[in-house]
Amino acid sequence: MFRIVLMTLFALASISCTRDSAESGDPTQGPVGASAWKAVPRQVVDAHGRVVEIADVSRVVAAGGGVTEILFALGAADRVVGVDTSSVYPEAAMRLPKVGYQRRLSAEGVLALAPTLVVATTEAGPPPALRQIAGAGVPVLQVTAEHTIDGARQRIATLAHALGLEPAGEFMVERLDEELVSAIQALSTDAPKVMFIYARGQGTVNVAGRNTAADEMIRLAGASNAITAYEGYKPLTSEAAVAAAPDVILLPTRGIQSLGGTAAVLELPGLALTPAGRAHRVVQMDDLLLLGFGPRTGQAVAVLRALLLADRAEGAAAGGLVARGEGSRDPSPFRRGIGPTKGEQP
Amino acid sequence: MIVAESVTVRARTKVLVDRVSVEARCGEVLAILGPNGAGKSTLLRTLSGERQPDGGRVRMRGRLLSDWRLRERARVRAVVAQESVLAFPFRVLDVVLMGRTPRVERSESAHDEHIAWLALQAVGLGTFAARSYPTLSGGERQRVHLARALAQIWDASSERYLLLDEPTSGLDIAHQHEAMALVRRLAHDLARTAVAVVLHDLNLAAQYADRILLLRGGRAVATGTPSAVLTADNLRHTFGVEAVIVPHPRAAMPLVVPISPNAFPMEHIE
Amino acid sequence: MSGAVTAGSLSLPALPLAKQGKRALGLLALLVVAASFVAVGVGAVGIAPAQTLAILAESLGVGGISDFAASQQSVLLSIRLPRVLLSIAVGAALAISGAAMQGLFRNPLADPGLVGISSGAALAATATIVLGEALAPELPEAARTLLLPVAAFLGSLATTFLVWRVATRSGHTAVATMLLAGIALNALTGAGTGVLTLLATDPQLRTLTFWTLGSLNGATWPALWIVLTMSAPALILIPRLSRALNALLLGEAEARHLGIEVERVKAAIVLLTALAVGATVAACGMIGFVGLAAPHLIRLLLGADHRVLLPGAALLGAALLVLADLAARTVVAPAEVPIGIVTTLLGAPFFLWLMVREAEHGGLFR
Repeated sequence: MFRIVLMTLFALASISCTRDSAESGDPTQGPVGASAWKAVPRQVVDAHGRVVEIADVSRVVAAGGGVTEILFALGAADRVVGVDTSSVYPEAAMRLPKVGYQRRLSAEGVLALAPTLVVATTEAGPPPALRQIAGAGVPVLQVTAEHTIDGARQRIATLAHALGLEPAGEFMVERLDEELVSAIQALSTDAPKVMFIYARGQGTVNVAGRNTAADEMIRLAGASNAITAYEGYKPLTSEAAVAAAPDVILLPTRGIQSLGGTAAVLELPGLALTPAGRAHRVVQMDDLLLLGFGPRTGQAVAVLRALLLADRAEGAAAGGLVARGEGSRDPSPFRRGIGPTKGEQP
Repeated sequence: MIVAESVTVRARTKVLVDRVSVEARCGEVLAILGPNGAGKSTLLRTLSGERQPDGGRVRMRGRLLSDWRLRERARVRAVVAQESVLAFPFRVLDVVLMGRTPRVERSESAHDEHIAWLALQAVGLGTFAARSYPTLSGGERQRVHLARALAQIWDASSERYLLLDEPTSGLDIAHQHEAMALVRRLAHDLARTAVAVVLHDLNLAAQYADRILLLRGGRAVATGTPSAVLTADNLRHTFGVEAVIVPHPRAAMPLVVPISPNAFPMEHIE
Repeated sequence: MSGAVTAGSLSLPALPLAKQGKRALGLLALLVVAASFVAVGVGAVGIAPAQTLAILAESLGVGGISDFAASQQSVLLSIRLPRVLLSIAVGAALAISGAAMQGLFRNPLADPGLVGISSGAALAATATIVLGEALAPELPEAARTLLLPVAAFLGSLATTFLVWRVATRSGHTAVATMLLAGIALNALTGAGTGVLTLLATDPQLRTLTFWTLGSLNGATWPALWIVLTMSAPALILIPRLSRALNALLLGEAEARHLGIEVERVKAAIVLLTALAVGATVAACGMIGFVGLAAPHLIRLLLGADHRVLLPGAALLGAALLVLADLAARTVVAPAEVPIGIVTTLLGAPFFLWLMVREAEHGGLFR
């Protein structure tokens, strides 16, 4: 019984949601300039405000899907020697040695890959393991886990600075902002109410409230979150679903897979009675693209917005609509300048 | 000597033992007899100190039982309960060695093991020392616990006390007599030991007890020698049975021959 | 009585329990040392046995045995060594607590996990994590580190006491009642934890998940000191009660007749085991079945005498946990399996086998 609760809890905890208040909008925490190609050593301020001394970035272990994605997008793929199990994008990252889930890292497992730097978000843990890694002389850089555009900017800038790839980072932030601007310019005034469901099998079905990554994405895409009554994630209940009356139901792709397909989504309690259920409006989007708040966030907003609008226009055939992050844009426009990247997808 | 003075024991509203006075004297076997629910075991528990009397007093060697320290008391007084539960795989000798607990400070000496072994031999289980206790039969287990009690007070200085609650219930007739003979010998040798024993078998009591306390409904009906207590009137009054008391063919003791109230004439059997 | 039995032809049968027991305990201690040495030497980072020796020797002031890298030294001394030592402390504490509780309840199926004591500790610790900041926001850092173990101790103490009171009537512990009480308590604490997870913030949830799944990952020297301090009383004092525990197996009244201050012994065991179990839960979450399996194996091998059983179970528990943790951190290296999963995978089938065996002997619910 206790174990079951714990498994639920575990699943809950793995939802990317941070509730820390937004920090300053300053995207960089270190000097950025044309001469910033210089190699390490350098000092980087991490998300806890501590100074991390980085002497060597030749072997990096990345914990956290967002962090891994940024490293690959910066063109640093060849320096990444290990990733955690949440690093599912790009595909090349999935072929690297796995050090377990980012929240349950094993100090020795990480050290066995002989890293010169460990990058993670503040979600990584357990703290004693991180302290042990740092204690063994390997700097551990924790970037913010905040699921906002600001968070994305800070992550990119901090990681770029840590790796001595500031120009790439700046470019990436600029592009992110551009994409966002274009996505946000196109905002519709006719905002659908969207309910985001995080599912890991029939037993774990939670709905996103305020201050979640999904809430932020829904807002950025010009829609509104159907749930405003609570913060964070709460289990789906039929009455709450009916009361929220969403126009669209949004799930990450893995969530839909865990439930057994789009049809199974509408069989969840209460959903059939919502406007979205009656109109079969179920939209899915790649997990990391939707919730990762990485370099692709601008695209993600555009894609989500397109999906929500297209869905409205077409009235959504029974199969639901799909958007995947793969291949939508080359994630690494900088490889030529920095060196070969490992096994990047075409 | 253990002396109970007008002991009363209550359980909620029910009176289990009602103003009973009795002495367990050194050099004697005191048998406590009575029908089921007469308060025999409760009285024995009061004599052992396991149960505080609600009225009256119990003294051992002239001192109130409650004034004794447990360990001190355990060095001169051993108790064998009606049944002991022991579900764990101890060797027989180790069970007997548990009797040495009140005398052992750190670990048992060769002396303790020697006494345990003597006690085992005394109950006729000398060859069982290395057996695992749970493999024994019910009767063998009872004898092991008797040996444990013997080992407990084996080398007690001056007076010692042995309280037994139906020690023969699981034994066959040979072992019943063997156990009671042992107990009686123990009481009589050097006259240092007082034995109080709850029994069901009237003839076993008649044969081995020096004195008998007859209980009914928590009250003492009679106390005295077997011949004085085991009378047809007393038995009718306490047990509600008709019995003929005849002299033992070989010894100077009474023999109780109960006659069933529904006794059939002989022709019905033939 | 000397007259009652002739002591003439006495030849004591060869029953060298003490010697046999001592030899077995010596072997078990060797097993712990050997398992520890292997566990310290094996892991995701490769360190040769000679290097292991050299690193250990150098930290004792003896240098020059073999060359090693500084990173190997730090992995060994700050990650593996505290972890292996924590495994030893936790395994020994759980096993001796299990053995003592089995004696106290007079039943071989008592186990801190099965009767709900670990989950009581877990609930209290969970409550501390979730509600602690709200209730005591101004607490200094030092007090914070102690808050969790103390809460876990109080939680395990409360549940032990509760199970004991529910299951014991006039000196007799009904085993079925005890196990059912354990089920009820496990369910209750599970529900309580569920409520707390609804209240928890995200970082709190993270702490909870790490720690409730049971893991020795992130073992640190301070955690080791806390566990050692809190389980040392159990490890030192419980063996001194072995004679009393033996006598208690005969029944409480019998133990009293043998001069044992039963109430005091029971109170001491409840307190000591609650302290030890609380410490282990606070340090590494719930690790099941060690408290059940280790005493049982010792009983099968060396008998039920607590004088051998208690130290034997402690040593075997330590060795088992060291090996289980070794498996946990090497089978999927560089990732890790939570050790609670390893011990349950090994322990649960053992428990079932035990039930079948006990049921066949008719001894389960006596």
